[in-house]
Amino acid sequence: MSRSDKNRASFKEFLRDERGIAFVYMTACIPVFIGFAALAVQGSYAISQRNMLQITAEAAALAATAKLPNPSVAISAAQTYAAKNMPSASYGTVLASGDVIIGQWNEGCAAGGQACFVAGAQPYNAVKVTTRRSAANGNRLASFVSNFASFDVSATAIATFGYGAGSGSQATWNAIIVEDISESFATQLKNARAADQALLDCMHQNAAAGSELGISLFTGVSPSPPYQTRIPVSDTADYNTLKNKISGINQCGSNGMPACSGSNAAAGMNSAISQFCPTHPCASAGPAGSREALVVVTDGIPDCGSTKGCSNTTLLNNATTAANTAAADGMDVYTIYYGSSSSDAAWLATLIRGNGLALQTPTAAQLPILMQQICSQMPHRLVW
Amino acid sequence: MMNAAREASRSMAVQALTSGQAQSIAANYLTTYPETFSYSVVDGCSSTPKGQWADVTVTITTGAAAASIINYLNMFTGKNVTASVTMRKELAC
Repeated sequence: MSRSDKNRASFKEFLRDERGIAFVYMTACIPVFIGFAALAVQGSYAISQRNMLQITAEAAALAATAKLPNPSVAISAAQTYAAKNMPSASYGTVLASGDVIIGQWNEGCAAGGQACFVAGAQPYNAVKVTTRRSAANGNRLASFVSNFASFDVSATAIATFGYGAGSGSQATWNAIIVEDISESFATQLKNARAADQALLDCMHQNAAAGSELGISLFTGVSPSPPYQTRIPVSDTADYNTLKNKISGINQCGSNGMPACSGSNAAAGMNSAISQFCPTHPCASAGPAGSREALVVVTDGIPDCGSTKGCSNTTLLNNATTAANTAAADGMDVYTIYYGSSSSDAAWLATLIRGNGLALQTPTAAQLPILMQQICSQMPHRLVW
Repeated sequence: MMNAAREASRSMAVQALTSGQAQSIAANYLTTYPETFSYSVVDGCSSTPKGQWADVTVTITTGAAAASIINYLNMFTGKNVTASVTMRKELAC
């Protein structure tokens, strides 16, 4: 047998020899096993991160909605809560400012889903937040395998306020505007009416079915009967009634308006309180979670004007007592101050109760925006 | 754990719940799991002035070794897995 025949025979024998074949198979398969295991770990990690991003987006969207209609404040709130849930030190920037979109949620729109959110549409009533771990944000998920397995993860949430008129027996949000129509506020009454209309429109669009709005006007006259008793905002006829009554608000002394005699906020507040709560103590008659709000709109602290035998101190104390009474009956007291006196603003801030806010502007044209800010304090909910 | 923390946190944010009630919500969410969980509910109202808004943070912790499928060479022993969710309370303090 020649040398080449020997080699050929050895090679054939080697091919037939099955000893050690498991080693060959394992050598080929181990990288595949490791790859699948790594993919499983990577996939689980991605799902976990996606869940965290979703919860973070929800917390951010809900917090931002409470800051509407001011976009910059809403964006800041969203980023704050995103960072509280996924700190940048651990996760990078999960929420870029461009991923917080302010707009309008149209309840029950035909398109359904995210298409019901219209970015930039006003008046704002919703915030869309998209949290990301992405290449664009510089915090892409770390890869255990290769660049092939590295991918972006994102989650979106949309929050709005109120339950909408189409809701069932949801918590209602009821308000009575307590409006100053004294002489000093006469020039700005046009803006105050626009603010009242803004609140009416906001409630009409967003408040749960059964939510009501009323109006009490005040000068220095006490007691001050309701200008418009509270009626449902979702009902078209009632909405038009309220709209007409708002347009009919005029300065004191005008036809149908109380006489001019100073400014007694307590008279208006007590009128509003009596509407919500004819006898004390009382609780909200609406479904669980319903709120009642007094919205005091004025250009200064109470004063007697030219009324004889009147004490400014008494008027101030009466307003405080009225706020305490409202709080005892579970009402929220909001104040909107038109003016630039820091001492007046500080005193009016002492009237807020419950979920109330103390808002101030020296610009009358801003009054409707402040009223929308109050409207955005309705219960917040996720719609996506 | 994240979802349980989320549910407890949101419930406490929208209702006037005590920390114990919020903890119960989280615990009920996790009843089907055999691991032992510890809970921490921080109501920011305890350090926030009245009339201001605060946060609620719910943190759930369990042992990493108990949660792991394989505790190879005791690499997870003594370590914890934590889930924490912070939300803004809807009602002022």
